Amino acid sequence: MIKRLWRAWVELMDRREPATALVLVRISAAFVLLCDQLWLWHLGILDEMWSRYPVGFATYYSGWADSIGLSATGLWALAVASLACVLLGIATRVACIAFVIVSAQQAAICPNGESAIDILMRVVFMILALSRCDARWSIDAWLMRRLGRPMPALVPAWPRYLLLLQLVWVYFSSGHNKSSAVWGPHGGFTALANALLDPINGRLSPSFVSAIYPLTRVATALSIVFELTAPLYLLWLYYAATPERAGRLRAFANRWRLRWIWIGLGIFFELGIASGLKLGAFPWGMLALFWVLLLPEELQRRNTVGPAKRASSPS
Amino acid sequence: MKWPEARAGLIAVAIFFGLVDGCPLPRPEKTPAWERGFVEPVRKVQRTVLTPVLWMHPTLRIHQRWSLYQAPTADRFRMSIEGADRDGTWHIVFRASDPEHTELADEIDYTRPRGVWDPTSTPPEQYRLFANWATLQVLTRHPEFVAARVRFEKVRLGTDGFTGTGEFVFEQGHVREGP
Repeated sequence: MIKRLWRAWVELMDRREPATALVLVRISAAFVLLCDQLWLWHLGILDEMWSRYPVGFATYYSGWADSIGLSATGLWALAVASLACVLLGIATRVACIAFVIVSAQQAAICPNGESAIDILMRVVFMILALSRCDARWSIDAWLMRRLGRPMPALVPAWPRYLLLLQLVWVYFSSGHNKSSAVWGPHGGFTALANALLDPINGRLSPSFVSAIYPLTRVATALSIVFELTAPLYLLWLYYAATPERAGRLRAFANRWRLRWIWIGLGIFFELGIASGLKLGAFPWGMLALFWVLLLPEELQRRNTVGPAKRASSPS
Repeated sequence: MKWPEARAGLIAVAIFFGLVDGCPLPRPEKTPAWERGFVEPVRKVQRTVLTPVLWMHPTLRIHQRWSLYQAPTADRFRMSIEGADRDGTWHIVFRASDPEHTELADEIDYTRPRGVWDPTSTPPEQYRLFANWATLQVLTRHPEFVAARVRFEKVRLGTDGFTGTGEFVFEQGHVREGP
């Protein structure tokens, strides 16, 4: 039994598929983070964020940036340069690692100046660095083609699986860490309304939130259901990938498109908080990862490359 | 061992460490007395298991415990930055959710800088550094002020907005030095 499970696991991790999902995550995530960094520059607060008093409000942490005499602007420039390289696919894997190192340094200098999306993106970029997310729509791929050594059409699928697991875990972990009553019936499902009315983070006018108050209770209940059912997405995805097999639950999940309902709730949830709360890059960063929720063939319908298939040789 | 087996093993190990790290244990200071009997031994096991990867927390600043909008309760805060003139009258320079007082908004009202002053139930670790910086900014930009302060009014959220309670907390001040 264990031997069979192990063999199935090895086989799963050895699968190959078109690089489209990984490439789209690379481009979308780098674009979102780049916009966020450029917005800081536009606001003119680079020194405030990563310099110490009296210039800014950073901590007294002293790391490698201090050791080499790198200023707040210099550190920011490194982040921007590495993100631009990831976005365009220039020395992509090195750029991914560079971004993780620079982002971690920014976080150490100004720990309260980052949100969950920065932590998540450091994990994502580490996985991207180990993947072939540069196999398409990148300068790297173009260069290799010119050199007569084109990148493979099918790349290892395990980085996408890891990103998928990471995304599902973020939502599930977030769901089971919500212990406050306002997320449940005892607190009247008032969590989202409270967040929208918060004088610091709310973006909408109180009169508008008041008018849609009952809807916010429904949205709170739906978002908790969405988060706590995140692991089930893996099952819905498996069912969608194997529709030819038998089973009532499989037939039910596929007929009622439970997978698409979950994805739709996620998009609705992220767009909702993007429009109602001042959360910066967070919701857009989460949406940038949604590509991994799709099956490879769903992204390949208009492409010349064939559908995903199992590897015949080790990668 | 062939590479596919080794790789599958490494991926399984990475997922295992991630799940152990993400185990939803309450913080030591927030663990109720009745839970300590079983939470603390589990925490000990968690720390022991994570020993090989503990270096990642401070170095890469990553973890697998996600707590997004954990407790948006009805008791919230509204921050204001104020300056005092020679008569001792306080003038609001910036106040959250107040279009009449938006000085410094560009510098402090974006998500990232907001993280250093937006409190949950207590102010963030960097709040003192922020307050030092903000009050210095007020005194530099307003020569007419002799003192500046940052403080939060406790507000109560209702179905139609928030109501101030008149109670102020987390006050940090700065008095101009010299004549």
